[in-house]
This record gives sequence, C-alpha cells and structure tokens, in this order.
Amino acid sequence: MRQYFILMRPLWKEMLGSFEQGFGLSKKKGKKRKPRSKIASILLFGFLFLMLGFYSVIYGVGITQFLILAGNPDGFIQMVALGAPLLILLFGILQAIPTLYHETSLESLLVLPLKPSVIIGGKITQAYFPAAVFPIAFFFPALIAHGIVAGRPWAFYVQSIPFMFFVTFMPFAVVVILLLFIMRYTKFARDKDRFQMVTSIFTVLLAVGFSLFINMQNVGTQMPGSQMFGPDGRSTFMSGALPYIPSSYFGAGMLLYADSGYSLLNGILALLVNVFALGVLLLLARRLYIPGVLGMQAGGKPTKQLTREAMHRALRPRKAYRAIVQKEWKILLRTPAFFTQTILGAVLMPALMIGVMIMTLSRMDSSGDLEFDLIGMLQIWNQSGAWKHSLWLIVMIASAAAAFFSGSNMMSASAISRQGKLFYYSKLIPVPARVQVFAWLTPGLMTTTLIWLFLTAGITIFLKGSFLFGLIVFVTAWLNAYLVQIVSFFTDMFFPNLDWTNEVQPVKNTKATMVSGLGMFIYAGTIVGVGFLFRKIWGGHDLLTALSIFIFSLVIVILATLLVLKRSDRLFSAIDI
Amino acid sequence: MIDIRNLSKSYDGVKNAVDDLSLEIRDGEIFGFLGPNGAGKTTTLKLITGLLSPDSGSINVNGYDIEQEALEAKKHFAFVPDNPDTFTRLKAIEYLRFIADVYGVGKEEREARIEDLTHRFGIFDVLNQMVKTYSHGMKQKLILVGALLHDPDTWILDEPMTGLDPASSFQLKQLMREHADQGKTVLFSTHVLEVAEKVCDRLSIIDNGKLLFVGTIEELKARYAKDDSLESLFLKLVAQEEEAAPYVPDDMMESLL
Repeated sequence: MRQYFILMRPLWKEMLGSFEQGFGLSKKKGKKRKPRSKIASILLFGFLFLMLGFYSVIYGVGITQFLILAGNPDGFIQMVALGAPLLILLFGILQAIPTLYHETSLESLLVLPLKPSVIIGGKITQAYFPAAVFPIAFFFPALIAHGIVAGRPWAFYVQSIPFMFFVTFMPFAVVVILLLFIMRYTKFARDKDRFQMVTSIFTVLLAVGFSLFINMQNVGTQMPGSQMFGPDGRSTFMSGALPYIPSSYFGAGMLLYADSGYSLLNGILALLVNVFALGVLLLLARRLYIPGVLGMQAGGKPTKQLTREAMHRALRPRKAYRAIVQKEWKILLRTPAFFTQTILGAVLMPALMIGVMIMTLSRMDSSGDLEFDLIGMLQIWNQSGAWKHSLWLIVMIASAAAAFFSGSNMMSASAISRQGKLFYYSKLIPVPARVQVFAWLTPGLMTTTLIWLFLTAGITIFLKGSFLFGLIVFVTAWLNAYLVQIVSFFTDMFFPNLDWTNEVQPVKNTKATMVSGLGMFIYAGTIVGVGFLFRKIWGGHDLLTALSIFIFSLVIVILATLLVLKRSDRLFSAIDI
Repeated sequence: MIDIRNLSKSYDGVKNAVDDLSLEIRDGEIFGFLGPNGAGKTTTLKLITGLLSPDSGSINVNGYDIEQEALEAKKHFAFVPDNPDTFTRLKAIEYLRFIADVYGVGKEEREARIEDLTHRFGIFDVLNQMVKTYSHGMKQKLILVGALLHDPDTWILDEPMTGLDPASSFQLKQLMREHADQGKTVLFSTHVLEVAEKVCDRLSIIDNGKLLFVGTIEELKARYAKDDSLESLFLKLVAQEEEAAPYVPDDMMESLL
C-alpha cells in the first residue's frame, strides 16, 4: 500500500495535467507568456466546477419540479443512476486508452522496482478519477438540489456521496475490462492512431445506442418484478434499462429508500457489486495489462517494402494545389484529434439531429400523439406547390440550420492552426499564398457541400418535394454553410495558434473554433430575427423576404471571401516562425 | 550566391538577435556559419530563407530578393532546419511526393533523385513507412532528401549533421563537396568545429547577432594565433567579442562597398 501511495504522487500530478489539457486549461508554450501559478490553476478549476455546478443545480431543480408535478419525483434518482454510467462510458474509454496504454510515462514505470499490482492499481486510479470527475461534477449538485426540492431525509445527502462512486465505478470497470482484452488480443490496437480513431467512433455509436436503448425501455414494458428492490409499489421504473446495470439499480434503491432499512441493504449490494467488479478488473489486469502494454511497445504490423512499380505509382506528379489538399486530407483522417473534432462531428451531428427529428415525427404520427398526420401534411404541402408561398420560411430555416450545423465543422476554423510548427513549410515552398489558402479551405468546403447534397436529397425525397424545392434548399444551405467556413477561416488567419503541443488545442481551443461553434449559433439566431424583420419591412411579401434573407447571407459571404483573399497575401509575412 | 546587406532583426524590439549583418556567400564554396548557442545563427538562416522578416537590410539569393521576389527565390534554394519536424502522419514516400509536387519536379527526375538520395542515406527500404515510426536521425535524412529533391542551386542547412550516423554524415559532406564543385553554393551552420575545419572553404563566426569574423581558416589563424586549433580560436574570439572589431577580408570588403 505504501508503494501505491508513493506511485500515486507523480501519477496524481500527471492526472491533473491531462485534466487541464482536456479542458483546454493547459499552459501554452510561448516566449512571452508567464507560467500559470498554482493559485490561478485552482481558481480556474474552481470557476469551471462552479459553472458546472450551477447548471447542475438548475437541471436538478427544474427536472425535480417537473417530476413532482408528473407524480414521480423518484424518477430523478433513476435518471441520474442511468445518466452517470452513460457519461462514464463515454469519458471512460476516452480517458482509459491514453492513460493506460499510450502515455510515455508507462515505459519509465515498468523499469521501476514496483510490484505489477501496484502499477496496475496506480494506473487504474489514474484513469478512473479524470473520467469520473465530469459525471460526478455534473450530477452530484443536481442530486443535492433534488433532495432539497423533493424534501428527502438527511440520510439521502450522506448516501449521495457513495452513490456517485457506485454508479460510476462499475461501468468504468466494465469498459476497462473490455479494453484490456482488446489491447491484449487484437493487433489493430497496437497502432495508437488507428486505435484511438476506431474507439472514438465506437464510443459515439455506443453512447447513442445506449441512450436509445434507455429511451426504448419505457415504463409500459414493465414485467413482473420490475420494481425497485424494496417495499412493493414504492417506486416503479422510469426506464426498464435500470436492472441491466446492477450498480445503478442498487445505488438508486439505496437513495430511494433513504429513510428505511432497505437503503442499507441496497447500499451493501451496490458496494458488493462494485467490489466484485474491482476484483475481476484487478484479476484480469494482472494477466492482461502488462503483456498488452509490452505488445504495444512491439509496434504494429511490419510495413511492406516498396516495389519499383509501387514507387512509380506513388510518385505520380500532381499540381501543387492538389498536393496540398491531399496532404491535408491525409493528416485530417490520420490524426485522431483532428478527425474526431472535424470530420466526425461535421458528418455525425447533422445526420444524427435530422435522423432523430425524422424518427420523432414518424413516432408521433404512428403513436397517435398528434391528432393529424404531420408527415402526410408536409408531403401534400410540398407536392401541391404550396411551399412556394412559404419560400421565406424555407430560406430562413435552411440558412439557420446550415449555419448551425456548419459551425460544428471545424475544418476551416482550424485549417491554419492545425499546421502548427510545420507552418514553416508553407512559408518555404514556392507556392503562392492564395493557392495554399484555397487548398486549406477545400476540405471544409468539400465536406460541407457533400453533407448538404445528401441532406437536401434526403429531405426532398422524404417530403416528396420537387427538384426546385431541393435546389432552393441546397443553394441556401450551402451558402450559409460556406459562410461559416469562410468567416471562421478568416478568424484563424488573424489568430492562429501555431505553438500547440497537444493536437486537441488547434481544433478545440482557438478563437476561430469559438467563432465557429458559438458565433454561428448566434448567427443562426440572427438570421431568424433578420427573416422576421425583412418580412415586416416587405409587408409580408414572400419572395422579397426570401430574396432579402438570401442577399443578407450573400453579402457577408462576398465580404468575408474578399477579406480572406486580401489577407492571404499578407498572411505569411505576418506570421514569424 | 547569397548576398546579405545590413541585416537586423529583433524579437522584442530591444535586443537585436541579428545586428547589422553583412555577408557574401559565393558560388562554388562551402560556407560554414559558426557561433555559440543563441548567437543568432538560426535566426540569420531563417531570415535568408524568408521564414522571418527582417527589421532592416536586404537579402538576395541567387539574384532574387527574398522579400520582393520570394517565390522565385524559394525555387532556387533548399533549407534544412535544425529540428527535423515534419509531417509524421504521412508515409515517407508521400512526403517526398508532396515536396516534389510543390517544387514541380518532373516524373523521371523525381524518381531518379529519390532513388539515388535515399540509397545514399540508407532510407530506401523504409520509404513505405509512416514518418512517425522514424528515429530522429532517419527524419533528418528524410528532410535532407526532400530538401535536395529539386536540385536547388543553393543549400542552406542548419546543423545538418545532428542525429546523422557516421556513414550518412560522410555522405552529406561528400554531397556538399560535389555540389560546391559544380559551382553552386552551400551554407551551413554547425557547432562541430572539426566539421567546419574539414569541410568549409570559408567560414564566419557570429555572437550576439554580430559578425566576429569572415574568411578562411588560414586567414583566421593568420590574424589571431597560428598554432591554435580552430576550437581555441573560436573560444578566444567569442570571449573577446565585446572588444573585437569584425574581421572582413579585403576582397570581400571591396565587394560589399
């Protein structure tokens, strides 16, 4: 145990470092910047948790009040018992992979005279806390706020503390066990980049699947015995998914019966389930972890040597523009942080949101919640040509939606910052600045165009719209999506972050990505306001309003494009390497 | 040929990293650029290659002003930085193709030169591997191959021997000699005085951004101490930097004036 605590000292510091990086609070390298003091770091963390706590309390109070009105205040505890594992699933994978396998400190640990079990225990602790901190910080204040609003007994508040650990640790242990097997027995895991890429996609899909699973397990599908472990009739499930996660099931039971002996019984069972998970995890880790790490050091599969013919093919000449674009694509696709923050978000977000919207509409129609057939009505509205009389609405919605979705596509917003130290190549190569700038913009514009082509086609087919309807939606959406790309690119030209050390920084923590993410959210709102304003100015004239909204976006696009072209000539001289 | 006149650069607006530097590097010579850490060598090389903009002064590379005719100038030189930072997520062959494309190297020429250079530096067999799997020395070799791919007239190399194994170091010195013998220019910075002594036709020593000496090793010895090694001459020069006036040979002074 003494060895464990000695080991945890440096690991704890490392843990804080990775936590700072994850939240974008890490110090940036630079000649003129002073290192951040300990007090400043504590204040920053404090502020972050205070903000999170504030949202959490609002969430807790709001949902509890709603559930009290609905007659099921206990549902909140179940929501937390299901929400926390969902988050730990997401953060657990993302945290455990680099901490357990990819950090360089691991090599230095293996040569120390420490028992393997101490290293394993230390590394698992190091992976668990940063993964659990966000779910706990988000749900714990909400739980306390819920207790106050719902008038829970004093024992509830005390038990809330072990509850948060019970509901987060077991799912984390399951995730790590899965990971141990993958890292030990699959070859693909040895390529750090490929593994991170696959797992990040898998995590997103898993989280989406898990939340769908929880939603589908509604109260109506109860079976005999589908009540909490306690006195009959005390509390029924909000979701039938709860018994599938024993730690959450008993944990929730512990809080729900906080005023009776069943609480202790549920608590003991939750503890036992967690201890069992920890035992299995440690047992398997003894066999799988260190061999898995050593397997990683052995490297990936050997690369084939180039034949003369392959070399001949691999060296086919291209124009400089194409060479830069293809290089950008390769780096975007091969760098996990770039891929997840740019391509994955850009493709998944609009697809998921529109998919969910269509599913919800279909479900509302089939469940009979609506007294009319909404989809049918929309299809008739399209087929009859009535949509032409609501042109302004179509242009406004397409503009706002495109701007909003394009804001999640950080390709252009990070195009210059992504170059990092290698920006010197751009200054060295004999390629005009405008060509390079256009090449950097190309991936963002290409994905934007493709996404809107597919989305427009999908919406038009689903709503049985005409070609003209589709064309108007596409042109309007593309213009606004392009607007976001060019404006955020322009911002990156002014405020590039080239001295990053962590690949997440240029795609997440720059002024341009903030403009892209937050600014375009505001722009999407503005375009709606502008739409109503023009409608008032033109006395409700449909075509003039639609044209005005379109021209409004077009003017911004032209201005931003001209500014980018003008700035591109001065870009290289403005940035010293 | 590289012609530098009254070049100054300051990062903070107070102290000059390069201070009123004038220098001529002629065709057909290997020119060594020596100085202690922080002397201003890398800054000077970055100014010559256009990576940094000077506060004052002018730089001509093969007759092209690096500020006014940047694109033309860039076509005629190669630069190897002191740190082999490169696109680690490209395969080496992809990296070389990219470089060949942006410099407009023809199909046959690129294939022939890649084959020749990568064989010389011993990285032909690993061309299909990702650069991230390369060691420091291998990356350095790859960057060297990339830099020399378009057969530039002028080579500008910042600490090019760092990380190279003896065989590759020998190959590079050989290549530098061949290049200079063809009447072209090689400018390189180094800390290794033995290399400078053996390879350079002429050399310069700078410290605190100021030029302390320009000339051949013989001229350096003749001026300071005949029996001293280059190392002791270098140390003496740098120590006396505050008092010493820069030594510039007569013929160079004439051309500068």
